[in-house]
Amino acid sequence: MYLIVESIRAAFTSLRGRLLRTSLTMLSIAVGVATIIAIVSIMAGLDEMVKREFSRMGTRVLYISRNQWGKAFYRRAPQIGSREIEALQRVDLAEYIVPTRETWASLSRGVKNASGLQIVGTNQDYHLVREIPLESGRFFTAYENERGRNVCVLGSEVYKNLFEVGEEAINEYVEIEKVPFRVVGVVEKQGNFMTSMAGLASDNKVFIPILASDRMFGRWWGLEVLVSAYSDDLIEETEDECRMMLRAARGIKPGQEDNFGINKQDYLLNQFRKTTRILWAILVGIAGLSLLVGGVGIMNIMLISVTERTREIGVRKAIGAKRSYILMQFLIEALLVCWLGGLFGALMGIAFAGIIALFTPLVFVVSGLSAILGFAFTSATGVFFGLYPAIKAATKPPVEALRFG
Amino acid sequence: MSALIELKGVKKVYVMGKNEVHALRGVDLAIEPSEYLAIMGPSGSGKSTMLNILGLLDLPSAGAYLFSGTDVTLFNDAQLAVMRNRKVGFVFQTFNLLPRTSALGNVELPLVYAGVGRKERKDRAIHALELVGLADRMNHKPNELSGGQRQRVAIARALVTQPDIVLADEPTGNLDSKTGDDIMRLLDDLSGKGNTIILVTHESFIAEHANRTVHILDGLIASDTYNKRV
Ligand SMILES: Nc1ncnc2c1ncn2[C@@H]1O[C@H](COP(=O)(O)OP(=O)(O)O)[C@@H](O)[C@H]1O
Ligand SMILES: [Mg+2]
Repeated sequence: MYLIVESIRAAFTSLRGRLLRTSLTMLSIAVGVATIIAIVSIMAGLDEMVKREFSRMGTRVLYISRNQWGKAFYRRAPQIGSREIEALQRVDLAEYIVPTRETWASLSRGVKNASGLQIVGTNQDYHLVREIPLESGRFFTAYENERGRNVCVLGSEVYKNLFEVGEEAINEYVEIEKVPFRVVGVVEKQGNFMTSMAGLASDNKVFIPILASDRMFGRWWGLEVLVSAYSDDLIEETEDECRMMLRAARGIKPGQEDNFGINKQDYLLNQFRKTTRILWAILVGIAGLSLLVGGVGIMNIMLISVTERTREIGVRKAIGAKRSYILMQFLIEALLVCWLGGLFGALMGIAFAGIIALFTPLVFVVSGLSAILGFAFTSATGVFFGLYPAIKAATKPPVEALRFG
Repeated sequence: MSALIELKGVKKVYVMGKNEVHALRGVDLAIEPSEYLAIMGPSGSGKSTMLNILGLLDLPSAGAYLFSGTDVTLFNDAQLAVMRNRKVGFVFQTFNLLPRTSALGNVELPLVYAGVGRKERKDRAIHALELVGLADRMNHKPNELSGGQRQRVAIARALVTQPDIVLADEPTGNLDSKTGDDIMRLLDDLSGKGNTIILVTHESFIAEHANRTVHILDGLIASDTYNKRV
């Protein structure tokens, strides 16, 4: 115990004595740890961001359409229509059943106009299923839906294109393909760069009652029906029940395959993860490489430092230091360097990941695992290469150690 | 039998690849307490080898080394460390001070390993530095001291644990003659106070300071004579 305290004091003296080399060692450790933390944080942040974005589609929502996502189109599959809606309405586990039919159209208001917008004909429950928060106003009501009233809810980008900043939109009229619609609500800004690109966010969409949409655009396209389960846990069972009902309604015999698709957001997430796997591999490679470089740096500096101190070890042994004391001293020194460097590196890595998160849509995620991993690796490197030559020197008879340098 | 230390048939063989160097070829030597012994001989005759064995910095290839009657060649590393710490004080030709540590710190170090508390350690180290006349330089680093002063620090370090024997391997070899004289006078002084001192040199005027001279030739003791003190 007493010797440990002395060792720590001696370690500080010794480290202060070789400030440049100590700083260099610490720096290589810091860089190793920082790189690992930053890379893993950025990777985790990207994944988390995408996960969050996709989960906005609803983790308990089934998207029932003519096709299974990611699979070839079913041949001669019929469109989803009122027959399927009726069948789905018999699903006990379904909380909401929301038909949607999408088209593209232009909007205008006075001299302002916006084109290429996605017009979503749907019912009053859409915003509940997709959990879309409204910036102002309300979603259209069941009554407005049944009557097919010309009312609409605007995505945030659509609002921005048609109104001045801060201008009241509620009860104003916009024209969809020259037909006036009364604005009843504006959706909060939703997506970011990525999801907007993928057309998942509602920012560029306009929601109107499905009857109004059918009246204006017809029923050329089939429906996509959103069915929500009461909770995440029930989604599989709900899916099974939907499948059963749809197969029954379409008279599909046992053994015959489905001619409709029941989709979930996790398919998209998995798809994303699949396509980014290469990116992950590259980043993990870089992280590993940086650890390797850091490790080699630590190794070199430690080897030089200990070899150089073989004589010192000889002197210490000559005046009565036991082997264990020499080893403890070097271990403490190595750990001190590793821990200080590691701490500095961890802060650097976290700060870097934070800065990246600040200026990009990435989510700021600090992965404890990466910190521990980087730390453990660099410490192990430092301790091993710090200790190995020390063990070699300490087990020699003092005369041999003293002959050095 | 009142020998403090005794070498019995000590041999040392260095193996370098296929070559074997027989540095000591069977040495018998007994040293009484308070003796002042000079080991003389030409370069390469085995003086340092013998002193390193006496100082427990190295072990013989064959033979026994009795320290106060106990054969220390059978000791393990930890026991040897304790012996080096408590029983032996070693003074090197090249001083071997820790460069980044003050004179005081260097002298304190053996006491650190002996487990002496901080206060007592400092007092004893200062006392040892006073003994060699360097109390006023105790906070200087080795590179801020002259060669003679460094060797004084080294002697203080050797003395601070009050060892049974003080060993010095050509302690004046790296010093000019004037400074060398000062160091020799210091050793004479310590001998006068009852310390057992064993000194290696190849200069007869240095050996004359001792009261017994052992001549080594090719790893064997050629003569062993008692001087008349001047
Ligand atoms: N570590 C060693 N390895 C091989 N040979 C050595 C070693 N140390 C000393 N010798 C050889 O042993 C002999 C005696 O050396 P040493 O005791 O240093 O002589 P001295 O101190 O009298 O000059 C010399 O021939 C020297 O070369
Ligand atoms: Mg010699």
